[in-house]
Amino acid sequence: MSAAPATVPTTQLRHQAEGWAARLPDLRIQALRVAATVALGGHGRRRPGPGDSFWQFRDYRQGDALRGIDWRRSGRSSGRIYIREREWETAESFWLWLDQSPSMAYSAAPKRPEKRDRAAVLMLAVASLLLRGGERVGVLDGGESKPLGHPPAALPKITDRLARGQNDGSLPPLAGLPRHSTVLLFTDGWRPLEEWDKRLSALTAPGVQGHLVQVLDPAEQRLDLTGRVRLEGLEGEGELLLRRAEDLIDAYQERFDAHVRGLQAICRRRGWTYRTHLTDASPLPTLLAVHQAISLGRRAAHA
Amino acid sequence: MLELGLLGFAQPWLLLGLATLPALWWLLRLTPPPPRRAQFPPLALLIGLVAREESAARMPWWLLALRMLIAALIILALAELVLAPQRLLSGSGPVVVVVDNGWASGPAWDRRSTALANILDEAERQDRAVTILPTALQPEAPPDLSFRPAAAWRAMVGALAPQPWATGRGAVLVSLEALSGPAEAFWLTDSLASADDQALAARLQRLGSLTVMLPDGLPLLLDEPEATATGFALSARRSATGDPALAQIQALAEDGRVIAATDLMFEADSALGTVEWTLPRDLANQVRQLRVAGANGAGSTILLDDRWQRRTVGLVAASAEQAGHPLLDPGHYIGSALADVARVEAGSLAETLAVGPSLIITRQRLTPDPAQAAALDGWLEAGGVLVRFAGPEVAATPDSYLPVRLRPASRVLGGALSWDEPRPLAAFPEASPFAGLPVPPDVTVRRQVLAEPTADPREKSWASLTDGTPLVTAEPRGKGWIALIHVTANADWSNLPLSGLFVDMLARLVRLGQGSAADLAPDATMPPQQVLDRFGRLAEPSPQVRPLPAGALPADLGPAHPPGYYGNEEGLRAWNLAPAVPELATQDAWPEGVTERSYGTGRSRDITGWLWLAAFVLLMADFAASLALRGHAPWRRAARQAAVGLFVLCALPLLTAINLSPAEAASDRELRATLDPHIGYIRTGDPNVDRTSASGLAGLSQVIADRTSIEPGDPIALDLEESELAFFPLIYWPITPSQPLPSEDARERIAQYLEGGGTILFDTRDQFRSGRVGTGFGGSPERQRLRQVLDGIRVRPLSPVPPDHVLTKAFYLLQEFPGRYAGGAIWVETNAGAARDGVSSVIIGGHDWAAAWALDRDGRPQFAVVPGGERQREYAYRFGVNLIMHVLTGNYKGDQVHVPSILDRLSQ
Repeated sequence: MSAAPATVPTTQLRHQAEGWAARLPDLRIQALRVAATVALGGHGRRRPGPGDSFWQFRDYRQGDALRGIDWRRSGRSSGRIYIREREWETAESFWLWLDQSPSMAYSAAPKRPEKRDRAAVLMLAVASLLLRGGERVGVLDGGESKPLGHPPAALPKITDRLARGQNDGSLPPLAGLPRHSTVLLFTDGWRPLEEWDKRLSALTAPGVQGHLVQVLDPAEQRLDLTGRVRLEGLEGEGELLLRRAEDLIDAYQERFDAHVRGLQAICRRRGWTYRTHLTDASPLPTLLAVHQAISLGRRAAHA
Repeated sequence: MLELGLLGFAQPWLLLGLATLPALWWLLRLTPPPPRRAQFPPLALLIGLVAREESAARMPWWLLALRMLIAALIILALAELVLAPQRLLSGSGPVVVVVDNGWASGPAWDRRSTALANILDEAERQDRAVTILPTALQPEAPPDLSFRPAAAWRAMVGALAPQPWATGRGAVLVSLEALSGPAEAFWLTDSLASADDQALAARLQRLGSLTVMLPDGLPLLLDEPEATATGFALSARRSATGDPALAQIQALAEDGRVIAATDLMFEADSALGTVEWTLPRDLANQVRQLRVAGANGAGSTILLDDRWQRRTVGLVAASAEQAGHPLLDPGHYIGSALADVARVEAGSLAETLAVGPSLIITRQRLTPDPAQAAALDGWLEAGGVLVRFAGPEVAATPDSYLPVRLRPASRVLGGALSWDEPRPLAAFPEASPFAGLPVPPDVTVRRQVLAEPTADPREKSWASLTDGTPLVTAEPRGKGWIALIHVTANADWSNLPLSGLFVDMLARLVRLGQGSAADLAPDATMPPQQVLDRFGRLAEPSPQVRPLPAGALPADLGPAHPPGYYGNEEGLRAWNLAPAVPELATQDAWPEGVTERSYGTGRSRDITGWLWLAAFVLLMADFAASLALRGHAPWRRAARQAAVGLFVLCALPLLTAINLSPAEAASDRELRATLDPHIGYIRTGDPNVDRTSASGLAGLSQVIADRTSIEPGDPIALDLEESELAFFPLIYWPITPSQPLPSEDARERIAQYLEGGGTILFDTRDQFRSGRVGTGFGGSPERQRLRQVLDGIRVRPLSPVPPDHVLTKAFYLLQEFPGRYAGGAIWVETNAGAARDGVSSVIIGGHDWAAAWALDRDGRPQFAVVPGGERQREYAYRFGVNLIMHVLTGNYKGDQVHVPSILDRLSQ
């Protein structure tokens, strides 16, 4: 976990953080709106299944196990036999991580949201969907690693945790995750590939699934600079003077592709999914894809 | 001063700075602008990629060009770039400029003042002292010879104007004696030769060097015409012989209207052009001024007074008079004597009174019936002059129309029964209208009628014989006179009718008939009434103008007596330039070594200020561009556009300074003008008037669209110098006293527009004041302006709108045409002609129609009408509707006069 970059003064950092915290309620509303769109589509968590809590009574149908008959309920009615169904419960929990390192606070065009904002929207939307699906959701920030309960109280709690900004590293924190948990990482992924490899290895345990969404600004995807430019990094990498930026376009593209491919390979090796999101695109397709991946992964786990 | 074609540099050595531009180029290339800064999260990916070697960064070419341009502009500004330099001065030391500003310099005065200004500019740049000597005769002080800096002369040069009298180079020569060289001399001559030319040129040349600036030629000089029986005999002089030339001579009435025009032809190789101009008597008597059209200056204007008026003389003769030999007929002598000064109408008393003569001559007894007697008395009271010749009938039985009582017998001198010799005439008494006429000794009287001696018959005597017997007696009757000439009008009684004196006497009597009292008081001095200004226009006399003594000779014309009208309300004397110009000759021979030049038209222009401005603006642009390059501005692209915009902006004034014509922006408006009928109005430059015109015509267009099938578009403002007029059926032209006069080019286009069928409504907007201002001699300032505007545009004769004019019935039936002001006439062409379909090309009135039509945004009238009432406003709109209908449909409604008769016939 790298410390706050030396180039960014602390006051400024605090101002940035406060601005970020002030923006979060907005982002949450955006996230809910996006999530609502998705929820109308393919959700189906609340259904009968193996579990402890009562779900519903229904009429006995041929083929039902005798064990499922609720005799007391059936006895109270005349001539009808009821099956007692339980809600499908899993011991699964979801752990979300938002990269809040300085490099995420970047936007190359005034009208584009920062990467951090977009990542937060995605994360909160996923959280909202999961919570509405009755899942247990926790924030992976190196602090208390306990799921945060059920809606509607959970989402504000998540938001609070983000606003507190305890986690400002550009790699997810190490945490002992319970079995059958799913990790969702929202990051720009600009740490060297070896570090990612190591960190994901540490996170991966039996039964832990992962999804990584790399949130990028289009200006990072393609080196769209001409002329003489002095570039500076956001995490204390120092400065770099490009004489003719246009000469470097191809070389940069190669390196960029290699990095993305490497990250993708690292994820795939561990059975994680990998996805790129650009801040100039709508968050919805990415959200749908993540949602799909989560559903598929769980079905695979429970199959 | 260095010159390169159209460019000149006052400080040419500073141009060496341009040589540093390549070095600057190199330096600028070596010092690139600081790089743009940007944040870039995946910086790590780039770290290995950046080449380590330092290659020189390029400054963008456009920034480089911009900075080079700034440097070049600054250098040019320091070198004091002058556009179109007029290089006149060559030597060093003070500059002496002699400027001819007599009448002959009037027409091309602009070129002289331009040349003078160029000399001053140049002298100022070279820090040389200047003295300027105008040669026109000065009223008082001799020319000031002091040398002063050129800047000090500017105000004086602005006030220098051509004077409507001759130059007095001799006076300049005298004052030059006090000056010692060396100096560089210029003579801005008008090329009118005078006696002192050689001496003046030699004197100026002795100062150092002399440059003579010559005009193309001398202007035309219009001579005083002669009044002939049928009109005027015009003559004009020119200096250059050579190609045939044509000049249009206009005759102006008292109020400044052009009432007639004729062409005067100069034959090839002839310096004198003459034309016999036949004019109806009524018209000829209205002529107060003759002018060469299109020329200005005193030389092209001739003022006329009563001396040129031709009167009708009634000759009462019995119808049954046997003619016999013409030499025996008294009427023959009278007719011959009056042929050149008047038109003679012979007939009975009733007939001659009917033509309104100023003089009636008879040699018969006058025994009118009571009606005729009353008419005759009335005519005499009103100022008529009855001249009677004696004869046997009159002598035998005198009637009541005689100034004296006649003795029954006539006196015979030198006859067979007489001892006396025929008597010659005595000198005319001072009080006589014949005073001053020379008395030839050989005129004698053999027989005459005699007056009864009265208390003082001499008082009634205008002429007498040497023994004191009256020959001509007269008696006033009201404003008129009855005069009796005591001899017959043929050679029976006297040889007076055979002499030249007879002609002169009759001419004096004819003039007496005009009531010209000035001639009766030859000693009176005549105070100035109006004098000609530098452009040959009548203006108020300045205090320096002195009254004209009666016996003034043409040579007296000068600052004290400029050309103009002198006299009082009883009679005006026209005092003209032409008799004072004996000969029109150009200067040709110059002493050896004199440089001759012609006047250029160019005016050198110092554009240093513009260069500084351009450099400053470009510097700002460079500043913005540098900011953009460093990435300080997110508006980088906007900044680049702004830089280009600024470049264009600062290039534009430069372009206009070089007089390149600006892009034509008017074509769109003109296209719009062709799509709908629009009413145009001339922009006067007075914002109030223009606003009123716009809203007035908009209000009228609205009314027309509401009431008729015509749907005019918005009124369009027209600029005389630029706009195309041809698209507008009607142009409304309000006249303000201060509006600029159209240029020659614009006049040409106005004339074409009128020729091509267009109509202009001139509105002098002075109807309200016309009662106070009156219409004589100039009228209101607006009318004077209108006359100046129309000067040189041929307008057909005008008359007030007749009651059956199409304008009175084109849509509404109207007999009055009020605008904001009611009353008064409006004027249209008397005979607009079939080619124009009866539509008058100009319509002139002073009713301020636009103000009556003007509505504000809420549709309420903007101006109160005078004397007032909605009825007047309604009639103003109706006039507008009729006017538009008239110009659009021509005489179509003129046929409506036949409608009643057609209906009548149909019903039968």
